[in-house]
Amino acid sequence: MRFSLAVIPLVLFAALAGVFLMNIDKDSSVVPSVLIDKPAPDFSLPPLPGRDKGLSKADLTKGQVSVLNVFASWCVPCRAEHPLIKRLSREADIPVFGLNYKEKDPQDGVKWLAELGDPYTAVGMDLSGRTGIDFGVYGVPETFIIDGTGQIRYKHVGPVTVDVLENVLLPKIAELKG
Amino acid sequence: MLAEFGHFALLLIVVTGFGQAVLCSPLWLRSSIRSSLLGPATVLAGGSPGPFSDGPGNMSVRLPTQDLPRQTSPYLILPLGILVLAIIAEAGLLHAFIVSDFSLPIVADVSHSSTPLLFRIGAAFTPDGGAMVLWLLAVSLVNVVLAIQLFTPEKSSYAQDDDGSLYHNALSVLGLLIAVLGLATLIDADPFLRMAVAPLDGRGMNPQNQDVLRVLREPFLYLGLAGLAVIYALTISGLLDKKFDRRIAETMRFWTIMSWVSLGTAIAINAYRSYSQQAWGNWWYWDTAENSLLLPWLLTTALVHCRAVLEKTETLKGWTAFLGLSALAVGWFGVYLTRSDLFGPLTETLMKSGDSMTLLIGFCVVFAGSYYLFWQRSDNLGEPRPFEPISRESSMFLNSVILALIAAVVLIGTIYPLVLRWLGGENITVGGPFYVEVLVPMTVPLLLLMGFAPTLRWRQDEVWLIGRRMKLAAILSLIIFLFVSIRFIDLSPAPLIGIGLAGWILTASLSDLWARLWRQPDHGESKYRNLQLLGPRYLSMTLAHIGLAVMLAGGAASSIWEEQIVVSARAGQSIQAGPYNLQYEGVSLLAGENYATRQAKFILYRHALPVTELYPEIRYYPIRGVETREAGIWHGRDGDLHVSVGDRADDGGRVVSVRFLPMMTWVWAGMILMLTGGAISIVTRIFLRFQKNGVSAS
Repeated sequence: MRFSLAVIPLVLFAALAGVFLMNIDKDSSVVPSVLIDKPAPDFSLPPLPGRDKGLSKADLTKGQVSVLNVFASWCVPCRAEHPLIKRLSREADIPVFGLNYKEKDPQDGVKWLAELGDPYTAVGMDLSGRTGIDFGVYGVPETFIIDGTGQIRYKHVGPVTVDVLENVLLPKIAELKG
Repeated sequence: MLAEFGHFALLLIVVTGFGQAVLCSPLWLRSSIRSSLLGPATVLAGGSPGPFSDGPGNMSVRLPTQDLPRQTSPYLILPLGILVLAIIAEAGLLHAFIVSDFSLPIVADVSHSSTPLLFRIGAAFTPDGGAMVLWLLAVSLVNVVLAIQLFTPEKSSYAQDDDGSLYHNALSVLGLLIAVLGLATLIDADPFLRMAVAPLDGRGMNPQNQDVLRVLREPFLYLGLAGLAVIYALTISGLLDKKFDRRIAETMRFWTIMSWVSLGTAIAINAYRSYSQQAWGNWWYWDTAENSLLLPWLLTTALVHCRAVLEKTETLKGWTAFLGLSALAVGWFGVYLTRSDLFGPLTETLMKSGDSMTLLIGFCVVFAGSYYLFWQRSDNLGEPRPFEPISRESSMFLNSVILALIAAVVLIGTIYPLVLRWLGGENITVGGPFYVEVLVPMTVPLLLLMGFAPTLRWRQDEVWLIGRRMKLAAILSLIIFLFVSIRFIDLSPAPLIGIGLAGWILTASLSDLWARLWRQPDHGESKYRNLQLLGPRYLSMTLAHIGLAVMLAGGAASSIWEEQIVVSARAGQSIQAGPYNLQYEGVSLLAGENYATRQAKFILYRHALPVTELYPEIRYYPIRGVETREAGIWHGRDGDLHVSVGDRADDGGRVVSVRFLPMMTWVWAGMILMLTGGAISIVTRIFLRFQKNGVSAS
């Protein structure tokens, strides 16, 4: 009975352990993006229901550094980072755009912003996720820093934390503002 | 200075842990160490003739002393010593947090002089090193309890040649675990390091952790994990001795229930915290921190059931041993996954880079070894006889298999993003919809089984007998199900099925209880015989099952009939939700101990009669520059009213979100019932043990 079913746990465990050990040096939030230092893709998104201003490429190329934050009402980490996006919008003094990603119901995004507060200069609604794909969105939330000419200069994957905000995003924005 | 004592104590824990591992090790190992140190002649002269000449590695070696446990005292002194050391370490750390000693980076990172005392204590448990010290303390505590069990051996119903070998092995394994955990703490996240120049003040505690419930959760979580460590140690012990039998199952009983209740309490606290403190109005989010609590709890639930089978019928040896090992494995893995300052129920962030390398390597080594041992001992884990397809044991086996599969799904959902990233470099998150879609079909058979399994007979039962017993419950629950489905035909089916299944479990459990209470007493039996026959085991099981049904019904109903209204309210405006009417009185700016808060006042009316006042808040913590929200909650008879406030709206009003969650109270009541069921079992167990020992002493 040496090669019995009892070897299965050992094999499975070894496979899992291999995955963990392989992953240990990778930092999940730094994903090299092919889009870094490339112009942001062309897009034009409708506004949230009840609002009149949507979001398009033109908003990103007005000669001012801006931030594009991808969020969704169904995404838990988005809630977690939301206070920090508000803080970012307060402290950085640049436009912060929102890309409301793949809502089931267009009203969900509106409710979410009404409940948690709306720090965004303008929000575009990406129901199909098409624009998100063009931006190379892996998973919400993601935050892009875009310079005045519409070039993507930095991308953060996953929720913004106090550390990321203070030590990465704000310095990067300050650097781009010159 | 106390921190340095703590540091030294932590070092000593590692050494003493290894000491316990060696001194309490299996007899053959100890004898071989002793003979290699002292030479065989000394050993022989030491009064142990005969057996040692068999040589090391021979499992049949046995010391001639029957009452070995009482022979020498290292078996109690070492665990007690480790406990004292762990208390010193914890005290040193807590002291540093209480007096805000910012020369310790750990304190400066997560605390601040303005943090209230309770949260300064709570802050000590949140960072890596602090959590590890608490975990060590919990394991040291159960280590002592296990050693005391060794010193006052209970009359086992099954013991034949009890030479204490089971406990020795188990204590040895626990000593090794303590040493490994202590070492991982020292290498990865030493909490007692000092900085040369202390900062003037700390960076402040994460406001999301500044919550009484959060602080309360930690002891339960780590006590539960420590209980799993004992189960693990007992399992390894049985495997080493090639005696994984009902005796082990009997010893495990207390520990499985203890872990089940502790982890369950941690989960319940966590759920209520999500519900109230985060002010989201939901109580489960399937995020990494929650899953890492749920995984060991699911396996412990499976273990509670198949352990009973092992004790009763001496079958399911291999399966029970596998669960016994895996419960600690997933618990430890969960700690590893969530060990970081981000450990709120908020993040789906996976892991920080090499920070917990030693913990991970320790985990891999310990469990690779354990599963290897499991494989090597598989010959001894065979079933003495196959069991009948329709019997109590087969139903419990099926139950634990489904629970383990559910745990596997949760595990896959948790680590899938990791695997994917490893394969393709993609980052994704797996959210609620995945779990609901996969898990709902799996839980249906589990819940159906749960209704009639407790009435099944051991060994063998007949289908027609089951049918006769369950007739009433089946009809009643079918009526409930048909009633709700016809009445609410346009709703999605999953919650309706949930209500139907809750009705099934409830009626089945109650009808079984009824049948047992009104059983015709045999000739000459006392009237109270039926009550006596029920026993604490049966009562605690029934209570836990009923609790689950109540929780299921509440969860399903509140998800169907939830009403949410988001409005922009002005002072004096009233908002209708369900049978309630909320009158908004305005917001006042107040100062908390270390935060500023915008506190809204609502007066709650039910059918025009005032019920209570609710004060949801938006708190602003200036140290971290972060806002948190506290909901105002009223637990009413017909459901919860949950109100939270948001920012000022464009039209000058205040954004107010009101939810009426019908039967939500049932969810909380169900959780409490389940945990009470487990707690009854623990209390009677401890009580009976003392009673028995008292009797045998006199």
